[in-house]
Amino acid sequence: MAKLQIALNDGFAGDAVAVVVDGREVYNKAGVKTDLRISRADAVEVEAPDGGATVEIRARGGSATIQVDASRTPYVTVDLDDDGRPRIRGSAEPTPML
Amino acid sequence: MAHDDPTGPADVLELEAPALTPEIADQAVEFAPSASADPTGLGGAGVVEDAELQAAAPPGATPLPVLPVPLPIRTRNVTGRYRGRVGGFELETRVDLDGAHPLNKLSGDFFSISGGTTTYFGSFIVQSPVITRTATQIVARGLGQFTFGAGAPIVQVTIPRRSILVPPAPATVQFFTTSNAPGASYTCAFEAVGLRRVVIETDRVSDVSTPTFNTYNTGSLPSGGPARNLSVVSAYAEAGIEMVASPGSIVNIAGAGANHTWSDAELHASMVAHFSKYKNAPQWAVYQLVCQSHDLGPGLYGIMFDQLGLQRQGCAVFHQGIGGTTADKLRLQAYTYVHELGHCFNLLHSWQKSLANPPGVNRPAALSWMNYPWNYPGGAAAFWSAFPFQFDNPELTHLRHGFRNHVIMGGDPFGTHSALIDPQAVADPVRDESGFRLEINTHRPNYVLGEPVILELALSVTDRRGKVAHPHLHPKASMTSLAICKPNGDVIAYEPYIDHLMDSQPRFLADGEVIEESAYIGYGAGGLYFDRPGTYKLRAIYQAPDGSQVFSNVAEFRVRHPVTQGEEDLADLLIGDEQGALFYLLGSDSPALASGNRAFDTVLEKHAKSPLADYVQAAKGVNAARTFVTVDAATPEEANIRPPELSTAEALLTAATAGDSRIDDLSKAEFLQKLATEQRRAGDDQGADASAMKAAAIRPKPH
Repeated sequence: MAKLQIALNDGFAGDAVAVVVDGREVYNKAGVKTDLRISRADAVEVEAPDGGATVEIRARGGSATIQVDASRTPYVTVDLDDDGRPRIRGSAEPTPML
Repeated sequence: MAHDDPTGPADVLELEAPALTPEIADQAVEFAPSASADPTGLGGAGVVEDAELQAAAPPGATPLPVLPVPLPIRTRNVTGRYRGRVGGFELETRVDLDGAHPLNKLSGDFFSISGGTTTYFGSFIVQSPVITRTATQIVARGLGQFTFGAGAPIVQVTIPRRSILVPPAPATVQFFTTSNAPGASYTCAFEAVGLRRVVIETDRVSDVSTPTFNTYNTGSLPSGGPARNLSVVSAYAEAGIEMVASPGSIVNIAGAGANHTWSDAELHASMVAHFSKYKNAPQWAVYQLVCQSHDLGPGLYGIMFDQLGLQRQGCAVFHQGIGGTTADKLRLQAYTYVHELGHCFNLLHSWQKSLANPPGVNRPAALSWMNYPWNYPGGAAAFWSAFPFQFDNPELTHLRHGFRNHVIMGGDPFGTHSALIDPQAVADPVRDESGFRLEINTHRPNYVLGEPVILELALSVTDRRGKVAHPHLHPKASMTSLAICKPNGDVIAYEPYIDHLMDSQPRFLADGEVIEESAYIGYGAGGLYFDRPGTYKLRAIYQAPDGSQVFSNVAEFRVRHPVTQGEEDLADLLIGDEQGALFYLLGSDSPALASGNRAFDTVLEKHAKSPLADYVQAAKGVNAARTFVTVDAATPEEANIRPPELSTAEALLTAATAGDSRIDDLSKAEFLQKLATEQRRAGDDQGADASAMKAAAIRPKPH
């Protein structure tokens, strides 16, 4: 098992957000709002199986899904674009905040 | 000059501009070397034989002396900060017309001077002045935007050209009306090249394991600008801001144990304890704390942590993520230190400018301190290769020329200034089929400065079948929002001092029925809303249960300037945050509002006959009628309970609700009903009946 860090970053404006990993809901909150000082709304860390996991984000009536290998790209970043659609991407390094 | 308009027609007292003497004028003209000059010429450097002069001499005459070639003398740049005073107003003018990166703008801040006190009055900016440059002077003239209603909004700045060998010339700032009649004229002495001056204090926490950032040579790695050694101070100097370093200190946290991480609350408390310049007021002073790590971990490089009270006075950087001495770490430190200070100046990230108030334009491809390199199109490598280590021009305009309270530390909250909203948000809907009508009126068409402004709201139906409605119209219940258009054209949203989360309790509103409510709107979470003379406009938006947004009419009223000394004194007593809170709360025993209560006592003592005393009597009367419970932190198990003082309440409210009272009828009836309730609770049924009858006589309750 590896750790997957899912960061909710830009575009959240008091939204209800759910995060589902391999069909299991790991995060569900209302009122999620981006802190404009550091472009970060919230984050959740979950255990994920080696080899791959399906991460789904649901917000503002839309959803986005990504397949990630937590041992290679353990950092997942989620933004809401200007139209409120979730955009999700994985990376090997965490996105800095400042 | 009018008390409330520092641009108005000039008074007699004006400072004289220093005379431009012929000697200075001569020196101000840049000399060009003679066409026949020879810098290597006979007789030594700078000596040239003038063949024509020699040829013109009569035979046998003594040869004319050989004139030295005049050296070129540079003229001074005029960009900088200037200051002058006329009567009770001081003006700081910022001239941005030449130098390394001119924006070709003018701006200024006015301060009102009364005895030994100076208070900020307002600001202006001239975005696009017409600039005329001659050999002897620079003149810039244009229409200004002001934070107040300026009677003479055209600004003309004239600065004589001076050589670098003599002191800088003063700037003459002349205001004109739109019909070109002259207003006030200020002669402003040159103060400094920096358009703003900020004191910066940098402290370092004892557990930081790498050196505090000093300088970075921008030529160490590929970049977009000229190679130079950049410090925080020089980076801001390039932006036109004079940063003056105040000695910092070490913040010793040895007692906190190893691997301490900082929370925002701890950072703020540390600033309050250690920042030698800290005060609870806007000032051009900023605190930067160099720390090792934040609670959010090594991914947080820095944060503008100060969002308590008066915001943006401090920021922190975290060396766990950025520390080190390699070129890329030094570059990252330079970037982080300057970026966080940028937030203290109220700059948002480049791709989030639309989230400011008023909204700006997002610039995700900006080569700016305020962008994230990893967000840049093409990624971090592309950013760093092109980044010239500067702010972009709109950010420079904000830093150099933004209205003072939008920029100054401790001024407007982060990301906002006066909660400006898009005026289109309160434009008429294209279609309204809500079935409701919302009407608003201020209870008076004119107010004296300092007089509480009360809004009357009335909701009825246009649908003959009736509609289900929320019955709470007061903005504090969050079902009605209110937009205020100020005299200078800014449109802001009224924010209640205290939000009330109400059960909506919708009820059926029949045709012909009206739900009415009055609301004091002079003070709220945004502070005082009507503390300047001028014409204001209001528009309310009611959120109906079915989601319709019902727009009210536009109500307009005027706040007039005090005419007599008595009105002036009353304005001083009634205008203030504590007084606003007391009107909002209808009085309070809270020690935190003690000076506001003292001001109210002075109103009743010295101005009892003034009509404005009605409002103070009402607030104190309602408060006297209630039981007031105060909990002291020193004795938390024991509350201090002040019982109702009904006879005091009755006397005050009788005066406040008399026939000629300035208070609106809805509020008068409400105050008397509150008194009746407390009287009945105390067993005084006779008193309660009398108060209820008075209330009914003023405003009968609908059946």
